[in-house]
Amino acid sequence: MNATLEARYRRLLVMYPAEHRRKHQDEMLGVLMTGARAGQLRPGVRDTANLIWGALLIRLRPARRDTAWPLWRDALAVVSVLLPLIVAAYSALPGLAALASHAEGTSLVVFAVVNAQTLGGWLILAVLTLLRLRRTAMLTAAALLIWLAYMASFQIYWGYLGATSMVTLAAAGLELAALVASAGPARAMQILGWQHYAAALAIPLGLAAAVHWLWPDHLAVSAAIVITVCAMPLAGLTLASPLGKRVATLLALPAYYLIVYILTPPPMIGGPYVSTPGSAGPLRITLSLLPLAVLLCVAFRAALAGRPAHPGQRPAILGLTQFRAFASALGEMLEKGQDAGNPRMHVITGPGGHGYNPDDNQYAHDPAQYLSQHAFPLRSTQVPGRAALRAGCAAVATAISRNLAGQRPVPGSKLITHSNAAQG
Amino acid sequence: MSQRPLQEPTFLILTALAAGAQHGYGIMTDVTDISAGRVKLRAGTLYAALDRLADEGLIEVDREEIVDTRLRRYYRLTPPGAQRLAAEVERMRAHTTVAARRLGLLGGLA
Repeated sequence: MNATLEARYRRLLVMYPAEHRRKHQDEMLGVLMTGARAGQLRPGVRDTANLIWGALLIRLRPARRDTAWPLWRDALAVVSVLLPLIVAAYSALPGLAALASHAEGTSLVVFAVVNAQTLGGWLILAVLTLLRLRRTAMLTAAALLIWLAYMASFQIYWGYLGATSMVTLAAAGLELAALVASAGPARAMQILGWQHYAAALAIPLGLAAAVHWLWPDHLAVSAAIVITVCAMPLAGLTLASPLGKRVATLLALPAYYLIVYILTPPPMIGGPYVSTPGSAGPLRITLSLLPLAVLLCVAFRAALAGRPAHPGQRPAILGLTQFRAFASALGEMLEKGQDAGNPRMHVITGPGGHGYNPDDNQYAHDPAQYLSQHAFPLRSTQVPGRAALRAGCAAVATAISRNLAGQRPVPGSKLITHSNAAQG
Repeated sequence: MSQRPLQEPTFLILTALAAGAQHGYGIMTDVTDISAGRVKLRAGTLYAALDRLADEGLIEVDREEIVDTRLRRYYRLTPPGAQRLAAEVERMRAHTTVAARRLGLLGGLA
């Protein structure tokens, strides 16, 4: 027996998730040792590379379909509680620093104007989520998002969007999405332990302190760095768990803003009065607002998804297929309206209506045909128009009412343990 | 169930198991044989694939044996796995038939 080689292989196999090791470690060692040359002492380079690759494949593998949505919902629930704590903790530090420097004569006004509103909003959110007031927190998050967007709109008007705005907008959007699409704090508190709360408070405070002392002038950047780095230890705690992966992914969203901030260079002319270093061009604004839009779309999609009837069953997701069915139903309705010579349809689509010239448009008399050739082939999906539309609307309404009525927690998913195994 | 084309290693693993239950090392050598030495599976790839295939219900554990103090777990194709492989064979056959016909090779292949 070659004990050295086996020990070395065993050490390599630690890369794999515990769940996978429990199932496959012994047989993998068997395969590796059977394939070893006589007298071999070290794992070969190719075998090592292949083991790394295999471990990456397994860790990054998306969860099984039937568990994906319940897990995402749980992840969103966890995020809805942790995110306000993280943001409040890291925004509190500049405030404390401003208070401290105030004693030396610096104005507190800067902090009061720039940070206090944000900090206040997030503190309220943190308290509301800790009190498990999901719907109140939802409304607060929506109000915060609208307020932040309103504030940011001035910046965009000036062709400027700071990193702080990017990150806080994203965080508020994420919080709203998390509250809307999940069962909220009540579910999160079944999953979270004291160490998660402690990490969510201590890590951002510690990091914000470190960054604040290293780059005192770049609070905006530090916000992005801090929230990004926060995601990493939380991810590290839980990476092997399918739920933990999702939480980490969601919390890592602000990393995107850091990348945007670094990759889109500040133009020389930013504001209306002075050239503002760090100001944003159209590229940065587009890149900043795009994920926010996507985030809200995802939240609404998740909110509109029905619950599975049984645990483990795939929920009825309002997916691309369904959207396509909607579009094709609409297209067919328009088509039928044309065929029947419906005068109201002519008001909408007909010749001469709303100032477009039919001669300019070869499809002017057949919008469905226009759509089918320019958007996607509407006719390939055979959906009876009105019935499908009515059924679709009813389904959406049911989904919304179910979601507003609150959701049943998904059994068997915990942050640290392996939910896939528990459910499978 | 997604019906994307199977990756070559996956296809070869399923093909190896189509002959009967095999353990990990057996699958590795068999895949090398089937592909005439072109595809050499290694432990990392093999077990990532086996784990995924078992998750998807295409293969399952047949039995376990201890040989020379080593655990040997035998895997076998499930009925859905056999169906998936058959569907893949059909898909490939359709493609190769057209390709062969257009190249004028059909007589030679049949």
